[in-house]
Amino acid sequence: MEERQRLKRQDPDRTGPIRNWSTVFRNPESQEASDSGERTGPTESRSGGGFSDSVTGTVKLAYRVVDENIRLGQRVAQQINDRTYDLGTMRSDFHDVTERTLRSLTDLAALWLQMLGSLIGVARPAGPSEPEHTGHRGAAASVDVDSTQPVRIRLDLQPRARDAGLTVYALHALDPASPPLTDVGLEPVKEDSGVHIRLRVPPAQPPGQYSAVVVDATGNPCGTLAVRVGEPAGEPASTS
Amino acid sequence: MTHALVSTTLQEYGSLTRAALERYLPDREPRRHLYDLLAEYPRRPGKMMRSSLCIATARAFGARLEDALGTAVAIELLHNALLIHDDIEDGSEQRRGKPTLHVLHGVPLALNAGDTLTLLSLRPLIENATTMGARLSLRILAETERMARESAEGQAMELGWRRDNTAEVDEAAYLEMVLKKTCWLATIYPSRVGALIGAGDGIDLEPFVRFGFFVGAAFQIQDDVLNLVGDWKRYGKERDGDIWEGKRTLMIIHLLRESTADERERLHGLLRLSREEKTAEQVRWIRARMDTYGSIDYAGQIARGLAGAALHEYSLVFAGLPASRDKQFIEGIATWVLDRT
Repeated sequence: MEERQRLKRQDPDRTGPIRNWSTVFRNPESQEASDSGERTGPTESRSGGGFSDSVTGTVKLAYRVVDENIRLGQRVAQQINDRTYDLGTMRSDFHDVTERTLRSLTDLAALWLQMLGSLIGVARPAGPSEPEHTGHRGAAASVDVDSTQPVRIRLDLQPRARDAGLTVYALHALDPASPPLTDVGLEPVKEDSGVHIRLRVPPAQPPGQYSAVVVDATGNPCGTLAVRVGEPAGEPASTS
Repeated sequence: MTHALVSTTLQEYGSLTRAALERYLPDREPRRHLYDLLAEYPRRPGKMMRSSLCIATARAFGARLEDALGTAVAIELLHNALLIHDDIEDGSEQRRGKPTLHVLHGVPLALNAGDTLTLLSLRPLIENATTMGARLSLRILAETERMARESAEGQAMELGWRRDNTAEVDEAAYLEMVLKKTCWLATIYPSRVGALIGAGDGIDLEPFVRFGFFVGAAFQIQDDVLNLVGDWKRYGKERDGDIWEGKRTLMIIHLLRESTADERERLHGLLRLSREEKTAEQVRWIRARMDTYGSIDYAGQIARGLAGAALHEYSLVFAGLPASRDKQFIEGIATWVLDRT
């Protein structure tokens, strides 16, 4: 009886595990070819496949990277959520988080102390008793516009804002080269709880979207004023 | 059509954020050595993508614009503060079409302006407590701390690779660096805090990490491509600046992998050189090798693949929300990042 020759696997060249991520989606032989000076064209790179294989591989790799980051975040979130949020804890947390954020900036001590003071002043338990603001759009408004260009005005105000002393600063365009619209004012109209808008657009104002935040008497934002200035049409100003 | 909507929304929300931001830039002495300096970058034209993404996400989840405005301002202030420091650390010479702050005023004053701007960015976040309550404000502040930590870790990775002339930067390491250095501030944090403002602190924020990562990574790779092929006037940074600075971009990683042993050895030698030690001829050689091996095309393909993944994640995160212009904007951002020139 003829004795069968025993099959034997060839010894691998490597002497240890390959832990290089770049070879996960790539045949190590292509690296060797590259090392030996043999060039591979761009469409033959990685695994001998085209760019589409590379894209697939990199997107898979990206998922692994981001999922690891998420797992790390979940561990941190777990630690945060294990803490209770009573009033005392929240004050302590505010101090803790802010202090860590500002650790390297302690030379600005005056502002730092001012901020901590304001935090302690406002820290309070949150819950259903907190006032729920409802959006308010389309408040009664009258307009007084002086412009040689078509103008569209949009005013969004919180309801409580109508009774407060309103201030609107200059309206800015996104393009810093466009001069701001500075001749603008807001006044509450007590008879109908509305608002009167006064706006003057200088001649040759660059067309575009100009916006400003409306603040109440305490300086807190309570709405927005947006003005779209159109191309000069040789017509009197129109408003909407 | 969608990209026109993205541009219009960026203009609208960017304009509002700019106007609100002015309130936080101190108008007092010492102007010449501090406050004029820290106002430089925020007043230069920028895309305002980060703040707009925050506002749009908040509104898509039902918030009012003004509820998100303070946080949007904080994002822009912090972003500009980090840019000042990044420019110093990278030795960059151009930012938004003008000389960088440290080139104009020297490193010590620029560094101090960056520190102060970082601190100022906290003020609107603290003021959030008066309008949205302490609990939610604390969550946003905690998110800010995590984002700042992730960004610092990413910046440390990249700076360390350059200092040590690390040869074994693979794509996994590169993606992790981009996730931390770019994505957390550019896209993950704005969408997470926007969702918190709109939906409250009961919302699961993890899906926003995936969405933000894929958008931000596509954005970063496209930004690196523009550094090599972009219209300098529109791009606003030095052409080939990343090669001069020895940054490990996806194109460099691809080139190191695809080039011959001799070329790779020369490339390692050049990457080790500081900006001052490099010559224009050496930079041109690296750039030409990238063309030879298709490194820029490769990076473009990867960016498009990541943008596709971003669209998939978008469909998972935002599918349940009612149709809105803000929702369209967020979807459009995923591919708009590739269309910049």
